[in-house]
Amino acid sequence: MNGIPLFEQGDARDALKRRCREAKIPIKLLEDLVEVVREHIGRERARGLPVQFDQLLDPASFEEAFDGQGD
Amino acid sequence: MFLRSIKLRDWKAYANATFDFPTPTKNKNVVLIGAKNGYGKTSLLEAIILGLYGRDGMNALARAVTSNAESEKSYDRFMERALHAQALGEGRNSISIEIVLDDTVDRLKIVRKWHFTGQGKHRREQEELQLYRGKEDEPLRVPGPRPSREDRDDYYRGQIARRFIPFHLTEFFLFDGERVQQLAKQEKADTVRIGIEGILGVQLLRELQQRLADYAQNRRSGVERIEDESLIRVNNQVAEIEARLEPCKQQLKQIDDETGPIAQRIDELMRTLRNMTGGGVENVRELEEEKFRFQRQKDKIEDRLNLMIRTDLAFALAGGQLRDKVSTSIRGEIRRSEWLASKNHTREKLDRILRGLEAEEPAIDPDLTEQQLVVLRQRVSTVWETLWHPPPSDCAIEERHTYLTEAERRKVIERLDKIERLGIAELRQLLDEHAQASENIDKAIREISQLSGISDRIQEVTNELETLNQRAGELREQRGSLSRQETADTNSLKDLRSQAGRMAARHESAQPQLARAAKAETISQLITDAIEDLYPRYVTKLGAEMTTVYKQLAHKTLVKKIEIATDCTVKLLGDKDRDLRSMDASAGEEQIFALSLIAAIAKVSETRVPIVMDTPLARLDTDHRSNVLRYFAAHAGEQVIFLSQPDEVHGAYLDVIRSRICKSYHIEFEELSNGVGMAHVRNGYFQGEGA
Repeated sequence: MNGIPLFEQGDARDALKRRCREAKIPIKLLEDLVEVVREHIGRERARGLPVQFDQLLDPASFEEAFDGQGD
Repeated sequence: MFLRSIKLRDWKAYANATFDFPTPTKNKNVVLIGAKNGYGKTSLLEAIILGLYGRDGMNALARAVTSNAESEKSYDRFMERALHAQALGEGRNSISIEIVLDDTVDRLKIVRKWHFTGQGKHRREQEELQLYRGKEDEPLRVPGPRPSREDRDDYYRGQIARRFIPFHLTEFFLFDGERVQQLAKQEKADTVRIGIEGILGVQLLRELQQRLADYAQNRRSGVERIEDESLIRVNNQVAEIEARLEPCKQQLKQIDDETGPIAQRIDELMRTLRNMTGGGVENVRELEEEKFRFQRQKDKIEDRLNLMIRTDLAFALAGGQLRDKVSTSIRGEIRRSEWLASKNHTREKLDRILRGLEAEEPAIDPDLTEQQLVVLRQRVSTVWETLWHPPPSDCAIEERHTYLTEAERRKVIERLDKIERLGIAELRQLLDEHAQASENIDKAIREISQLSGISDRIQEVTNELETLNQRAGELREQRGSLSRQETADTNSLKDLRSQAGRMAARHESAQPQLARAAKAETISQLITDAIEDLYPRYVTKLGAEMTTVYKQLAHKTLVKKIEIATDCTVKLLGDKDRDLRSMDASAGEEQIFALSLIAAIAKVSETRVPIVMDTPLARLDTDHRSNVLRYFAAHAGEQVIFLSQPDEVHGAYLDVIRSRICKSYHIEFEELSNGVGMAHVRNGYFQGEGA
């Protein structure tokens, strides 16, 4: 299982995009977050994860990302 | 990816063993490994799971290999028992498992080693894991500067989970027949739910949710909790007090506006009143009260005069000469009484003297005659009588007031003396006071008479003054209350404005963190919603796939459709959509259901990884065995590894998959002593089976 159906399969992705639009969350942000967590999967500690979350969830970049969301 | 090879050193019965697997093809994808019970089939499955996941694989091991549930209790104990029985005696104190995963574009070699003390105690801290990549076995580097051992292990675990099977899906790809039976026995909805979440990759999203929740909590706790509501509440309090203060100030101004003229009018009326009463504040009522007071004084004086008239006036009118004569007479009587008392007192002593004349000592020679003694007595008595004559000069000749006792005579004298000394002076003083009181009364009457012409006007002014003073008092009271409220509100306002300012500043500085936390929570909720969206889609797909698999595995054709609801409850529908769950299903049929779920999950997840089945046909009847072997060999995975007992996959069953076998082994067991033995891997299936 190399991918997540939610992101990779057409219908699922459409449903996800709809939810993202409703929540005003860029789908790219969600993908980035999943990728960050994937790198930490199985780890007992979450060192560095909060900093990465800080960057991804930064309010300023978040607004820009959502404004520019085309997918 | 598929399993390219497995090398075991000192792992349980395998002192040194290697399994090599060819690249599976569309028609040749089955590896068949045969061994009798206790010869090492399950050990091989355990080696794959622990080789891939290490300590993380313990939970998966407990689920995938049911006989090893005890392994959950102690990783160390499990590993110590896994060390080959001869290893320590021959100077080897470690276990090594090497697994190579391969596909057309990538290759990953996983080497894990466990070390032990000379007494066979597991050295957990010395566990090694190394990953190699590519044809040249290039060590996989951990990104980042100077990663710690924990960082490296974490990274490797992530790589294995990502490139192969996340360990939460292990039980659907690496399992034994007992596990299938266990799945068959448990509530179908729970099994289906686990499978669907695995298919959806929900575990990863659940992981993200948990991380986001931790992150949000951390960020919120890292800043001072100033919610918008708190700031709004303080600002509302400020506005509320401001709104209250304004009318308060207006009321104070109105009171001051009203108080000024009232005070002015009171001054005017006081001046008027002073003018009318000659500068004083007296009025008719006060004069009346004064007159009444003097009248009472006069009455008291007259009472005392009356008393004197009744008691002492007669004596006073008798005159001093008569009072002196009476007084002298009574004194003389008192003196006479005293004189007579003394005389009578000494008469008793006269008798003693007379008796002494008759005494024998001193003797008189010759003795007195009786006649002489009488004469002598007469002479002594006469002499004694002369002692009391004449009476004292102030002694009365006779007692004229015989009705008075001695004490009453003295009281009469005392009273007559008092009249002489005090009575006249007191009477004179009372008469003077009486005259003064009368004069004061007359004066008050005159003044009242003078004021009686303007009393109405005074009353009018007094009434107005009373009304104005009452109103002024009310206004003072209101003003005091309002003033206290104004002071309290002003102070509160000052504090609240200051508090609001500080909160606003802190609130503003906390906003980015709170915004991130809120966003993390929003995303967490989004994930929940998105997963819920997908459940219907996947339960339908899973139901359809299970139906297909089930029909191929089951020898009966009663079940026409397997339907899974969005809450993961399962229906086995027969003709006319009749739910067959209420019908008694055999253990074998339940097992077919579990195998259908496993196969369907592998299919729907589109995961291209091996399936390893240890003794897959346990408790299945003849027809089901053929169907299961046929289906899994052809459809379940890119690579299928069957671990079989001699009487499990053999004869006709073996014929079902024979054409798909790309590699086969059998394991021989060399018994050394006391049940300790050594497993040897031999090419080819059991002798005589021809696989």
